[in-house]
Amino acid sequence: MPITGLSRTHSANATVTDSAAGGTALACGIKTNNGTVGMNPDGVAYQSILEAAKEEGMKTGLVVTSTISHATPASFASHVKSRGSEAEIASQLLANKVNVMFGGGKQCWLPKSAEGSKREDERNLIEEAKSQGYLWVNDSNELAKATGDYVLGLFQMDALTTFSPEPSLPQMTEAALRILTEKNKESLFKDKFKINTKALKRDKGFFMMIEGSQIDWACHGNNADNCIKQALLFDQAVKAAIDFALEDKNTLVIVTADHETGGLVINGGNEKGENIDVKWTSGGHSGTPVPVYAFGPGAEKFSGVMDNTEISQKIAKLIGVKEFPKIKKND
Amino acid sequence: MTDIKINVDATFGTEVKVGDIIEVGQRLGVMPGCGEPVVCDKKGLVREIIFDHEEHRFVIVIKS
Repeated sequence: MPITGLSRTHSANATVTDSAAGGTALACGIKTNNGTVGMNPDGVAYQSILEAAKEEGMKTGLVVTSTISHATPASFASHVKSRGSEAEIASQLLANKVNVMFGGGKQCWLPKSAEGSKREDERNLIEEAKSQGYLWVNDSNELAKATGDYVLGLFQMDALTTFSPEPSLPQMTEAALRILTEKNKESLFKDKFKINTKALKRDKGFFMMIEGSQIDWACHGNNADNCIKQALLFDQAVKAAIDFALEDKNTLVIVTADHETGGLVINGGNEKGENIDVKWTSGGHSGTPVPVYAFGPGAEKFSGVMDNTEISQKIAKLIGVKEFPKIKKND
Repeated sequence: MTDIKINVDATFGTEVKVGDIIEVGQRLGVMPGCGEPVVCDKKGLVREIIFDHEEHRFVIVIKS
């Protein structure tokens, strides 16, 4: 990717952030305490860049390999004091009407009485989603054929396994890109002279957050092999996004992280990449700045050293949001 | 001899490793959610450390 930057990742109350505070910084453009999702340290909810994009008429998507209610995706479409409130987060994700949601975590969408449910009530969010117009997809075959304005695909009770036959991160990314843009490709002209106003209204583009969630988990376990596997899956998802952007010519792709994990350093190895000597300095996160890569219109705004809160602020300016960050209005 | 399980926040990692002998009062990590220190109230051997991705914490299993 042509543009490279570095992002500082500290949270409001710690040098080393967690994914809730890191995700909130990336999503809402504000610092908050570790553990808090989509709110400032005083518990005031802030609008996320996904919500701002939606307000601008853009479609929205979340694609992850964790549960869809895990801290990072949660930061983009929910507001809770504790990242552990995943059942509440799932309810808010649905209420937010994110167009496309792919990942794991059925356990927080099924009623308490269902086997393996993590809910404390009898709400069946999957049935509620269907009744609100979502297409429900349960496996790779259904994902490949999925179409429509709203699509929900949760492929495991817990996080994804990242093994076949469940859909991979790049497959989910490609499907989400197709679904989020298919209506935009319909002709802007009903005939030679009449503008198709419906298509014109729809053509506002989209905002999507894609997370290779399990890179972090592999690094918590200091598992280099799994770290490489998860990073390669993420790399393929990035490729899908870049291929789309190359063809579309009007899509900005930003690649970054909410934090580093494991304090991974490479101590040696030969020029062929053999005998790599990997050392971990921690089983937790670190405060090391993380890279930011950008491609597409506006990419140049993401070079140099920046705070993680600036990333969504820059995106907001690029898509024409007048005020960001801003306190979220009650719906 | 019994196993005791102690949770610490995964963000900050653990301050012990498998095979360590733990003394009473030794710091193991910080508490999930509040950042307060977690100390061991029994002497023992760290038998296993499990990463719980769902709760984003480490479960330290100590043979006491």
